Amino acid sequence: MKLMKILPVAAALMALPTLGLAQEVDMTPPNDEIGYILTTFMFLVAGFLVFWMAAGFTMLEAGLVRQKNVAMQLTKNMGLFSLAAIAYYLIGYNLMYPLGDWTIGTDETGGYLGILFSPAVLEAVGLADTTPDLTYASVGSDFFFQLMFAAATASIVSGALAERIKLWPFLLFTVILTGLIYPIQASWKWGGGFLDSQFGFLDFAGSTVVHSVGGWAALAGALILGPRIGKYKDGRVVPFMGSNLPLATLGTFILWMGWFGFNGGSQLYMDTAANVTDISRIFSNTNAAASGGAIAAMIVTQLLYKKVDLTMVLNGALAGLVSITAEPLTPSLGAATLIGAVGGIIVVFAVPFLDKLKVDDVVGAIPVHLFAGIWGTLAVVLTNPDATLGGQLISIIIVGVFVFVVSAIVWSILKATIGIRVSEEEEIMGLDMAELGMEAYPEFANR
Amino acid sequence: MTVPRHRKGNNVKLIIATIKPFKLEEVREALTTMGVRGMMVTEVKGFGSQSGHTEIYRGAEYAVNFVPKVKLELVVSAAMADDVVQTIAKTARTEKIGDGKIFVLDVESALRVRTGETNDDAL
Repeated sequence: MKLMKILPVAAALMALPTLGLAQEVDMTPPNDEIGYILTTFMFLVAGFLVFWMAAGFTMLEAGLVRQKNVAMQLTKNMGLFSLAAIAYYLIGYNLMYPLGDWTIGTDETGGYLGILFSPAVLEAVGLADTTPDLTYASVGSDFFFQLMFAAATASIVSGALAERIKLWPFLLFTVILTGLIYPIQASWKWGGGFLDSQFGFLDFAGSTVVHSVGGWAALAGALILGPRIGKYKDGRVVPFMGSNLPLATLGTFILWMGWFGFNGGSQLYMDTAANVTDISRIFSNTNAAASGGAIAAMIVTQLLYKKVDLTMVLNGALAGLVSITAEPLTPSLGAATLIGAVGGIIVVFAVPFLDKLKVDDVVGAIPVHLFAGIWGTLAVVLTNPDATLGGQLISIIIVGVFVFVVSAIVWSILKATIGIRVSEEEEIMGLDMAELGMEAYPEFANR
Repeated sequence: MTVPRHRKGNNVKLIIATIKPFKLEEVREALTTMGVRGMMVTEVKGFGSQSGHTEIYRGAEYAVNFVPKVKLELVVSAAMADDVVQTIAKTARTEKIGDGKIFVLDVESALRVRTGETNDDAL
């Protein structure tokens, strides 16, 4: 009752904006801040799209491992993402972006090692006592965006090594990968280091810097960890079917969606008509490449095996996305589709090829991220005249050797000290029971 | 509560039948119509004379030896057993290989948990 009497009075008060208020403050942004605002906003949106890829990887892996190991994959992904956030904040960000302040090297002659052991610091609240660089974006948004890329790299490793790795040693590797290995090699390109300044290396969103790095780390791990029990028997390859294809497919679509942020955000600016138009081009090319990869895998598996293999189609779409990641801007829609298609074809052959070499990669992470990542990096020369085959090739090799060797050393040390593989009984029982004591799909509940 | 008489009870039979999964609903319907008041159903895999075939998963060939089936287990009075067997056989038959098999076993004793009734009264 009382409310009905108050309402009209309140409405009247609201209709008189100046009544009882302090002096009017003009809140329109100054023209020179608009570019900063838009680019910063773009980084935040693109950043949370890349974040969403963490859910994608998690679901993809959960669907492709056997039932008894699902909860472990979920746990690994929650863990690696969170640890990546901490490691990247504490060490990785400033190591990767020294802004000219190299520990070893210079911008001109080539940067090799960024700022060591310096946590990231964001701007003061309300930009108090700060002059922001209005030509770019906030440090907060740049940090947020780049952090997601580091986390993405770590999640690649999780898929390949599933079903036989111990939880904590794996997470420890993640910390080293996202705190040191990834940021150091990324600084060589995106941080303005020697690959960028001395070799003219082009890698728009990270076919090499993110995807092949994840792939090399995964390859080193797979070799040192060894294949799953019973995977290679009497010269035969024994398939271990995924437990949930709907989740695997959902995960793939989620990754596909997140990739729009992954590639689109890598334009790094949304302050002009040209830049935002470029971003729209990138979104479309990214989508085209994924489609090309998926269809290529569909066709090739139909021809090779007389039946389409859904898991290969999923891998194919992702390989297409990885392939276009090095250069999603310059190709035409048709070229992007074809570049993606080649990626899709590569994975269909790479998966059984790895099995032949007895490299057990549970989800096909190495074919998708390493093999297609190398292809994507080389393919830049097809559509971008600023790239040189030599520059691309030597950068692929340098990053590859660095990441593979350092990863192999870390995996070896972990194996020799705390051990990286569960026992045979635990592997047969399943990691969910052995390491977590829980079931992903509890049947026969006794409550 | 009566103590179960310990004789070689042939007044209660256990019927185990394997049938093709899509036949389950039809068989259940036919059995309840003829007076069967309970049964247990399990999803199983099996093979008999139905041979396996090979499939490919991510480039690796594997043999599919087992075919999904449904196993029914019913405990009925001996008087009813023959009719039950015939009903299941007639309803589940498709005349293609893999139709399944039906076995009848003697049950030594039966007990209803709620009331303690035994043998025929437990069914």
